[in-house]
Amino acid sequence: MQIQTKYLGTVDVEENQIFRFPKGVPAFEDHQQFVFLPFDDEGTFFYMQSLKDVDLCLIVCDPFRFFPDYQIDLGDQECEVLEIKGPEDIALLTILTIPEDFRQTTANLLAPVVINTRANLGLQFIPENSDYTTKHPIFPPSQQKNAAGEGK
Amino acid sequence: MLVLSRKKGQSIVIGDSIEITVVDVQGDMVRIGINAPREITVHRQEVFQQIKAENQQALQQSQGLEIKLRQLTELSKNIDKKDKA
Repeated sequence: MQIQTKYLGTVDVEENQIFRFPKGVPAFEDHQQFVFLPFDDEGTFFYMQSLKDVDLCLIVCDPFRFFPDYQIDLGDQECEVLEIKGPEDIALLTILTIPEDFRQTTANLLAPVVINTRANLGLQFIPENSDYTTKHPIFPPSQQKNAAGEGK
Repeated sequence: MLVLSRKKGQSIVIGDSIEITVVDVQGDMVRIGINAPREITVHRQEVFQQIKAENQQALQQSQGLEIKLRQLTELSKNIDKKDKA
């Protein structure tokens, strides 16, 4: 089927690329269908595009790419909603906030997007207790400054 | 808003299936126990608001996004190089 996207125009997607978010995501509760489309061949960043509204498109990435020690404790309730049968079903994504200066990009490690890649279900996980915040810089402070010097 | 007074150990029941118990009171801190069916989600209000606000902020970034994503991809390649070095 063809869908309208905010950044890629009209895109052909298969039914099995569509993820159902039964509760939407906080602030966008009435958006219950999303597709994840890679930004480029590197596959580092993905568009999380709502099927309901072309303008609702978040940027996500694999949190372990920037935070190798990242951990969450998924509750029974979430596993049930997502129909998770085993750890191999689960994939984690983190929503990025990209400000004017892209080097200051932050990841929302407090509330990751959890998807079941087998059942095509997803939710944004809201932990009961967490040491993480909604704003973790994805680059260390040194890199944020040096980044301007290309090739260094 | 309905306001009820409860002592430590006392409960209120909402509908047929939600029970809220005052577990402990220490100064201005109240510990609350909640029994609710699994389909009812319970969150600390300020945490939920914070996540909502972050999602809304994450959406406000269309200006030059593709250029930024390209630069971010390049910058993240540097991280890999550093890791391997």
